[in-house]
Amino acid sequence: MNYDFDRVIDRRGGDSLKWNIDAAQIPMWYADADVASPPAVIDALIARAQHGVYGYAQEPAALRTIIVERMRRLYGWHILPEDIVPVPGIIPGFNLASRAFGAPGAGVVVQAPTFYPISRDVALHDMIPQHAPLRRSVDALNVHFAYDPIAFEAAFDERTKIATLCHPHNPTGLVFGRDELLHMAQTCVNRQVVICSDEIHCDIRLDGGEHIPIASLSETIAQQCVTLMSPSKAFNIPGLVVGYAIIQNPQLRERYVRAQSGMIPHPSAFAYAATIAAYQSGDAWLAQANAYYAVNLDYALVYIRQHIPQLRCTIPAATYLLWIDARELQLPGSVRDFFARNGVALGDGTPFGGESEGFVRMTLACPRSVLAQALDAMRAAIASQ
Amino acid sequence: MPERFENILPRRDSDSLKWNLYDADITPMWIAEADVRPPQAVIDALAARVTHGVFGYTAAIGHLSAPGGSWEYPGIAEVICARLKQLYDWDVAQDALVYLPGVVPGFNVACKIAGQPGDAVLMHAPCYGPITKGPINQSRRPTYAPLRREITGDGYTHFAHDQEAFDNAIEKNTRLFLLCNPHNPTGRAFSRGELEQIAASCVQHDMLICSDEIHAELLLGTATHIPIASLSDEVADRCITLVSPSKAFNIPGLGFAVAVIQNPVLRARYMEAMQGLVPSPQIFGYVGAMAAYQHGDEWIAAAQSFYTSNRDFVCSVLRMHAPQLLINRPEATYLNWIDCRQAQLPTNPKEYFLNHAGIALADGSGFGPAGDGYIRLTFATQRAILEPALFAIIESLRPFS
Repeated sequence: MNYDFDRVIDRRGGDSLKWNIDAAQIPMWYADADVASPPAVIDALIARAQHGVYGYAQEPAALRTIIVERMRRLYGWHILPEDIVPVPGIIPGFNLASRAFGAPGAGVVVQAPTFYPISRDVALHDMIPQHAPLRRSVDALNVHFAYDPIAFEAAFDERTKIATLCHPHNPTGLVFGRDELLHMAQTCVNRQVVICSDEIHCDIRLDGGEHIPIASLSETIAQQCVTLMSPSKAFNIPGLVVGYAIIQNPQLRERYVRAQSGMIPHPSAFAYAATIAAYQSGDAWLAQANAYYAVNLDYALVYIRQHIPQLRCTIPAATYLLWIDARELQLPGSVRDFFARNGVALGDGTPFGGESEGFVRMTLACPRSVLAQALDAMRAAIASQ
Repeated sequence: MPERFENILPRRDSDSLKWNLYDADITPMWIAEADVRPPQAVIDALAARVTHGVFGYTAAIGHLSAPGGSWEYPGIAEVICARLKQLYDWDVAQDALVYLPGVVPGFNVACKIAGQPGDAVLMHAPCYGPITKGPINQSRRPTYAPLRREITGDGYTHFAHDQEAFDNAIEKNTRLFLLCNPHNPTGRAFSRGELEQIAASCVQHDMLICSDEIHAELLLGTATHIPIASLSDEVADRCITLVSPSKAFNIPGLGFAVAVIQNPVLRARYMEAMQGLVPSPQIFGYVGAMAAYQHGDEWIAAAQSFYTSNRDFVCSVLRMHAPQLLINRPEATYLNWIDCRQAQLPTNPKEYFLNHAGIALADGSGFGPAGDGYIRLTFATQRAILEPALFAIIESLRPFS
């Protein structure tokens, strides 16, 4: 079956955060997709809606089995049902790790640039972000990021309790290889630092490669890991507010669960129904979605090379995010504001840290016609500058 | 008699926590949830929103009322503010609303911003169990002001705010009073006089008030609800009021609540304490709340009369056939709070009725220090379930009568 990703679905003025912006702007900023979820997910949600009673719900018995099976099948990673802790989204997921394994004044290693709620929330818990910058380089066409083992090790000191990882990496789309992951993991294991790995983008691969959960590297490493996953990016259900932590070390898991302390609700029956349907019946859709996003990426890269050569882009192996270096434009003010004034809402690079002024993030997960409009508007903006 | 509530729903075959926690031969009357379908408008709105197909990060703006339709307004904020005005003549600005995935995170966040770790948080006793856990979760010290128990002329228990006990319970570092109004488990809808006494003490001692008003629209008979924050601007200034359609429209599984915080400084502190931990409501929480508030008024009037009739039935049956159980006659909620101590049961009453009557009830000891020897019974179910359950309870008491 072929799924239609070209269909433009009306979200403007509805209940979407992404589309809740000036009507003159095309929203390319928030990391959610403008595509309908897999039919199996929609069918499961229709069934749960038509059930007609929305009381306090139990976690479905199938949930953990399906996740365990998925980890085994996709990654050869053997986890147990009790290793899974459902959480209402990834952000509470890593904040719980901060509460459970950190303390005021403790250090948290954060890659830079990185998905900024990670670094912001370190500060919320009165902890100290310890930056491990990725190595950045530019050539005539692109900007490149790479893991820097020396910078990573240098970020640690005696205060360090947690190392956060965003893998695949938001915003650069970088995928860490086995050797890189091993180096990170060994560094943490040697210092008894907990690894909190946000792997929410793991199912969105544009290069056909395979994801390696850091916790799957070895049993010793697994004992040190909190892995955060979710169907929300891959199957485009962030509005259902669902995710889960996988914590194989029972002591860590117990502390993590205790840190919930009345603040963190369980995911809803709708979230569970969608998760189960997505994982059971969504993979064919997911493969086509990834292929569609990969073509969007090619389209954007070719377009930018031809028509907006002042911009340098990453070539993301994963995620549907394009990280754009606009420094060559030498705009007097914010790059984000410049494009917003000219009809395209992009994500501001600055909050991602790691000297990201002059960078913007662009979400490629939309119908190609919308992407083309956005790129045309960006080209026109620069031409008329 | 609102017949539409009398259909028994096949809940045991669903994901219902209420109906699956215990064995199939046990009648569940423990958790505060009704065995009724919400207004059809809620079901239709959920189905319409599902059909749209895109479930991204959610903002409370437009909504859909039909599959394939276009976005409609007003948004949830306007609807909630209009409702608070209509029900209570309470003027709340839209920016005073903070969306929550339920009231439990709501009162936990209130505890987290109340003074410093080790400071005291005051509650009535008895009190809804998860409220009593809030201070402990947030490293505060739980303290209690007992409600005064009276016996009415009809022989029912009646719990009243006890101002002397309240003032005696306030300590130098008491920073917050967690109110539950209408009160779970005693079913009181506190009077204006009681609320004024509470508010005056909280003003005098510079305490915050967090009022869990999740049962506000579950009124029985002629009872009325008064939000404590609606008493005066001075009181509103220190109030966090938790409002939710969960109980009234029987949609707790959709996970939607709102904290009304009119004081902007307090609201900023509250939102900062939520950051990173308390997620937004999920998309169907907004959708369900919107439909319930816009189209549920006729339904809720019928539901209130259904629950009122059940209350009267439970009260008269237990008064007549189980006089050794001292029961309340709730003004609000669909809960009976039952003192079993005179029944001289050989074990904890919850265990006793579970094992000897086949009825699962909530153990009173989970409701703070004044709950031992009590049970809480949820009567929001069909008469065909309720009646045999009551007679099973009565029958199980026979050896001790």
